[in-house]
Amino acid sequence: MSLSDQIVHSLELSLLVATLSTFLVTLIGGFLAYFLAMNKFRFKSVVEVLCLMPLVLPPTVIGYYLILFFGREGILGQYIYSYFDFSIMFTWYAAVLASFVVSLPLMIKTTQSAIEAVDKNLIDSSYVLGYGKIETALRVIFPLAKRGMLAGIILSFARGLGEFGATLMVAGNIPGKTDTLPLAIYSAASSGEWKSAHLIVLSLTLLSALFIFLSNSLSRRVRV
Amino acid sequence: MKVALLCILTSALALLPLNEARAETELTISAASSLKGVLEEIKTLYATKSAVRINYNWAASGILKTQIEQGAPVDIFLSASRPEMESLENQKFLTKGGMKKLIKNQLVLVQNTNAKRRIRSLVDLKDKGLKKIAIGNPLTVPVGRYAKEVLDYYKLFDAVKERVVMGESARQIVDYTNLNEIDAAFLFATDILNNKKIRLVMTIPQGAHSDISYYGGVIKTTKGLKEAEAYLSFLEGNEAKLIFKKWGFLL
Repeated sequence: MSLSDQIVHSLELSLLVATLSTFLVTLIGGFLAYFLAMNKFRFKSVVEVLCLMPLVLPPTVIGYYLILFFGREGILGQYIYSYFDFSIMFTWYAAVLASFVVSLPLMIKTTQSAIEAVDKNLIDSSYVLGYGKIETALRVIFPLAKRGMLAGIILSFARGLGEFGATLMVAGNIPGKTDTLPLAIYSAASSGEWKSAHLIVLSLTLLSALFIFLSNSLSRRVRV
Repeated sequence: MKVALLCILTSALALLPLNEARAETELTISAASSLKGVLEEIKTLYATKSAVRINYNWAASGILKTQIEQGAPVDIFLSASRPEMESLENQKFLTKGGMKKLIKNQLVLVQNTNAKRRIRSLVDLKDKGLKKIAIGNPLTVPVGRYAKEVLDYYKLFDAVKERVVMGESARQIVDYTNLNEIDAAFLFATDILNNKKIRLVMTIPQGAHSDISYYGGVIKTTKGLKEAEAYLSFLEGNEAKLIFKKWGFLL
């Protein structure tokens, strides 16, 4: 593979991984945030701590847990492996999984605070006027919380794009398969290929700058 | 709370001067990750003979070489192959003593003891049922470069290249094999010594790859030239040789 092919490949892979993981984070994180914001139950604080753990744990610890759960001999992975003869390890799906886990807390945290900030009177009015729980959530709560959610989505995408530690552990660093931009930088720098390292670093920097620019102009347009 | 904070601060301050005083008799040794077990044992032995404090920095030889080229404050480099050391020598990173050949190793093909498909030889690697074959990244990991040479020598690389997983160090490949995450792997014979989870499939014939020798050298920028040279000659001595032998290295 030529240098530019390699960069294009890593770029495409990184965007694909970050987009997919952000999509999952938005769905699952949004639901969890709604659930946590709207309900009081025993052990709620325990669940909250669990949801936020990936934010404070080093990515290598997350990678270790993922191997423990999804590895071929892992708690879940052994069943997947024996029934489907498939293991997520060393595939790009594992990179999505790693990005998903590390960015989930960002989505939950921002969305949960946004939902908690929604005026309770508006929610109650919605119920009184005949909307059910799902309709209220989709038509009243989420639209009112969309700024917080948007921030969560943007943070999750950025975190997913830069994910390195956990990805290296569960997806490996396989040229042409699981080498996302951060991993490609690591490979190039550790083998002393400074020319390609410079180029990949430059492209990731430009991409990130473009991303901040887009998210800034987007959040300016979204007014509540 | 305040008291606890104060305690932490004062103890942190108390540690500072200690570290500085020791700085003169400290050696940082960048060593190939396949040397981890044996060098830890040698460190314990060396501690009974010398007051010098040894700090190891483990990684693949290629990664360590790049770190040194970028000015990492390293006193001694122990490489699992010749090219890395030679490149540093050519770039004048080593002291006058130059590079010293220390020990040898062998390349082996291994599997986890519980591997789904058991193989018997190199040719079995063509079996598509083996989904993941681990070698070190040939660019930075010597055990991977030797493995690539072997695959090329037997004209197997094209048949396996879609299924190759590249590790960042010999140690990492050992871990993956321990966990049964991969179906077959190329490692050094010493990497799997006394490891009950890994099964030796075969030792690779010496002719199929370049000579697997470990080299040591003192880096020019060292602040403890005498100490570094003393440690390196200790590695060449008979006491260290016994330990190397015990860990499966060849002399």
